[in-house]
Amino acid sequence: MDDRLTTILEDLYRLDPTLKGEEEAVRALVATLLKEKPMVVPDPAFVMKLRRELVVPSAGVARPGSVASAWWMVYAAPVGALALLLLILVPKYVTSPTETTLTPTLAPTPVTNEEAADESVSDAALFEMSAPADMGTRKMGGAEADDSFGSEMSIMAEPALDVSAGPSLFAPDQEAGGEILAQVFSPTFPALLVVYRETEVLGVSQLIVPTEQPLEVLVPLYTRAVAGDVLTLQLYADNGDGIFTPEVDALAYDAFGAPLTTTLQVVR
Amino acid sequence: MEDDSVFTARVQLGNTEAFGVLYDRYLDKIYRFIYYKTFSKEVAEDLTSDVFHKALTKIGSFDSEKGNFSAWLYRIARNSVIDHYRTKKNDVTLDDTFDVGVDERTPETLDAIAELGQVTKYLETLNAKQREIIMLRVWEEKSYREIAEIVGGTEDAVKMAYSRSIRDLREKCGQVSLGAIFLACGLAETLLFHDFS
Repeated sequence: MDDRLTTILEDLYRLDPTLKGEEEAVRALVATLLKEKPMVVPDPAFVMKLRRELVVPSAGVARPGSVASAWWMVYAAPVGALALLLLILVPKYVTSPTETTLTPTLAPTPVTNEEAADESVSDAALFEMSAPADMGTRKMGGAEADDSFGSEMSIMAEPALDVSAGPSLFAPDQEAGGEILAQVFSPTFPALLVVYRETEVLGVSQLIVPTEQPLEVLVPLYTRAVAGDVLTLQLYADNGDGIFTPEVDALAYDAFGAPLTTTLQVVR
Repeated sequence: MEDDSVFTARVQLGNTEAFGVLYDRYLDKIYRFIYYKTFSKEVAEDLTSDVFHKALTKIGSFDSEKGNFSAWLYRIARNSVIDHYRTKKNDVTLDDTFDVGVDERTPETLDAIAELGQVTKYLETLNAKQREIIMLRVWEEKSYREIAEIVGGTEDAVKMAYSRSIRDLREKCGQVSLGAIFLACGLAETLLFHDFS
């Protein structure tokens, strides 16, 4: 505090040299001001709740009274990113049958080899392939897309199982520490929850057994999470050995074919 | 630590995670700034929430070449407090926002004030702008330029107001030691919520 006090005083004397004549009293006043700075701290629950509202894009959209501006990009971007991700992922199913063996039972059913061989599939058609099950029969390819192609795509978009209430994953922002708490809803297959910091695996949960009940899963971390970390959680379908092996345990997908992944921030 | 402008640019390009970084940097400061003006946890939470939602909505209009993000955010906070009180009173001037809540102070807010240090209470014997400048300069360590952006006016005017505020406070509180403040300013208790400007 002494450095800060000195800086403030030097600054004050520069602004009003006559204050130097009352140096002792001014010093005491400023020292007291610094000492008595009220340490008001907001409620952590409020901090986390507001952060979730702001950083999750869909929450911001729903807020009444928002004025449309260039801000539309913020909300459009995730949609675009999702579309791009699907465009990247779907060709992998189409062109690499061996890779499809790694997909969990809840992933979209791969197309047939005949379809895979057709490299002339348009972007619009690829987008249709990645559409949710309830959109599978809708024709989105415009005049160029013929009916037979559209029907093939509807098969592609249907999940292998009835997953209308399929698995989902949620993790709130959390404090620094040696473990991460997440909620896994309706895992219908043996699974492992993996915590990443960028590409580094920070921790792996114990085997999560299938259940219809929501589960709270505590993942112990190999390295403590510190304030400012952004962690990614991913749910993997275990191959049966209960040990996470990225080469053989496939990333799990939700009912709409999206990877079961979420991010959280370590707040303090 | 990367500059705020890096993150504001990312947010303007649609990266909401970048807004999370700005939120983490400023949440406590904005909350405190509002709390000092309202002395109510509920109001501070409501207004802080409004501030960040407005910032998120309006960030497309923020130009980092015309000012920094911090001052822009504080200005939103300041205006939110003004708007909050304007909905209750129609004749509020911008400079009176600190005091306008006085009539509406509840036992809760009075308790909150009582829990603050004695010097903090005597800050209320200054006028609203003086008080605001001292808080921003001494407690929040803002530059004069940033304070000028937040409260309006020129940098020179802020410097003058700041040194005069310290002088006024020193004169009102007499020879300052913590114990002396209590004695010298004891009578100020009755004048606590009045604006001396």
